[in-house]
Amino acid sequence: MTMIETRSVGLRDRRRLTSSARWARARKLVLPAITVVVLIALYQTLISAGVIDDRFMPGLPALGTALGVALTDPATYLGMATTIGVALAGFLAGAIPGALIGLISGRNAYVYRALRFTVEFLRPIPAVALVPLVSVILGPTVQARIFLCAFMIVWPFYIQAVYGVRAINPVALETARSFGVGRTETLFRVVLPSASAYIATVVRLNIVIAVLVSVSTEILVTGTTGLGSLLIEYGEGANVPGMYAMVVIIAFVGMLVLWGASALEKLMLFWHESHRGKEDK
Amino acid sequence: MKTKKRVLLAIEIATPLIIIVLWWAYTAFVLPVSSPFVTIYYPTPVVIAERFAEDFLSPEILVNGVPTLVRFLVGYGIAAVVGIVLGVIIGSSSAVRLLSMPVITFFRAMPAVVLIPIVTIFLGITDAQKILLIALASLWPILLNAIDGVRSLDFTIRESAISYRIKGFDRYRFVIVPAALPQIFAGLRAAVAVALIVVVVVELFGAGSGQGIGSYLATAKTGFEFAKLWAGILFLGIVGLIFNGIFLLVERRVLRWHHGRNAVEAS
Repeated sequence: MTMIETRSVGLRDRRRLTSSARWARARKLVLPAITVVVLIALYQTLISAGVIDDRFMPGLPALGTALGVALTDPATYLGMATTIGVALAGFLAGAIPGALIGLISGRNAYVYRALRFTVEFLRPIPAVALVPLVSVILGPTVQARIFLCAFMIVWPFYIQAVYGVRAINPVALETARSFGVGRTETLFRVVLPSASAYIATVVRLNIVIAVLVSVSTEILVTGTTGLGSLLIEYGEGANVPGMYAMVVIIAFVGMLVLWGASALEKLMLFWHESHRGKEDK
Repeated sequence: MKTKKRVLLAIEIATPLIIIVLWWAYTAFVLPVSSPFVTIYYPTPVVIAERFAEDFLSPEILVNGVPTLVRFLVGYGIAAVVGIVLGVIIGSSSAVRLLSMPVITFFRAMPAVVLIPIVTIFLGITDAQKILLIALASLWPILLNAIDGVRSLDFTIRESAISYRIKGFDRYRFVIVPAALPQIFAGLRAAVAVALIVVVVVELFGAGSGQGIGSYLATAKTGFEFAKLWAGILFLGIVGLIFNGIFLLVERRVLRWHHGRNAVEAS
């Protein structure tokens, strides 16, 4: 009865949508649109007025043409596939072992202490510092790039998994023990699900970092393929509009990847309280 | 219990030493026999340490290391100030948030290194170019976390502040910013990783001229001086370790009041 009542009130309320409520909804679209229009107009005005030399920054028509050229070039799509492929492969190659060893380390004080110093020392090394060394030893290969991405990703996952294990509700562990659940089974049925909430929180940031490392290797190492290599190629050909077009394309690819990562995070955490009943984010 | 503690400490100290000894034995004795052609890539830890002492534990560090640190600190510092101030402003107003949304969405997912060629068109290979790029890269994690931190201000705290008529600057100084601090620190920490990547990439890009760890590594590469390549990596590892330590100390001090918050919330 009460449910029906609240529902009918809700319906009546919705019908009485005032103009201010309608504006509240519309401004979510209008305000961002204003920024986009103003920025694009400002960009073109600065170039048309000659404040910025159009040899350094292409006007909108030139940028549009360059985007058209880039988007009809199969090399662009091959580049996208390589850039993202390397980033994702490196992400998985780092995240999975990192998280698994982290789970063991979190459960076993001996393993944790044995690895602690090594991890603390290797963790802050930016993977790109290895680029000169690795590019000589392994050449401009896909394996080398995947290794570099994985090197960057493995530590945060390790550490997050350790924290995740430590934060497990002891009651859950005790319950598993009372039911005589074995060590391996406890790891996969209690420890892993509990810790996954912690692990999932670093997924989004680290996918972005994997893409960053992937593109960095393309920019630094000659002979690689990818969107970054195309960017450098355009630069060497003094094709400035092409460079800007490539930056725009990379930005959109980045957005796509980030969007996918958020979806993945939600999928991993749909049951967790931080994601229940939350639309924003 | 006490013996367990001692065993743990022994393991913690012994393992890295064992790793180094094994590494040394492998590069000094096994590798030259098993695959003599690759020995040049893998100098022994002793050779690397000597190289490191020569290039970084001497006045040479002023050429090889210090310029990188200065660029890093200036760029990161600019990003921290701009990111926190803008983040608090954007986080406090939904209108500003909506207005800034397109810009943030566009830049947050863009790997900052793609801006290197573009910024170089305008500024050339200079200190300004490097600092600008480091700042641009580290801005987004700081900004986004500051916005999130301000937005997730606890309802009770917000209402209490209103009840006590805490207004204007005081509201920011005593309510909003302290409440957002844990999240702001999460952003500052995430930005360190990004800034370290970008500082190295930007120095490696078109290196040769200029000083810093990037050109040190680049010259080592063209000269096939592998001990130098390893020593440079060692240097960055130590710098990162020191930096993380300082960061942890500051965070502990600033967030002393902040208890029992779990990492799920904080990151």
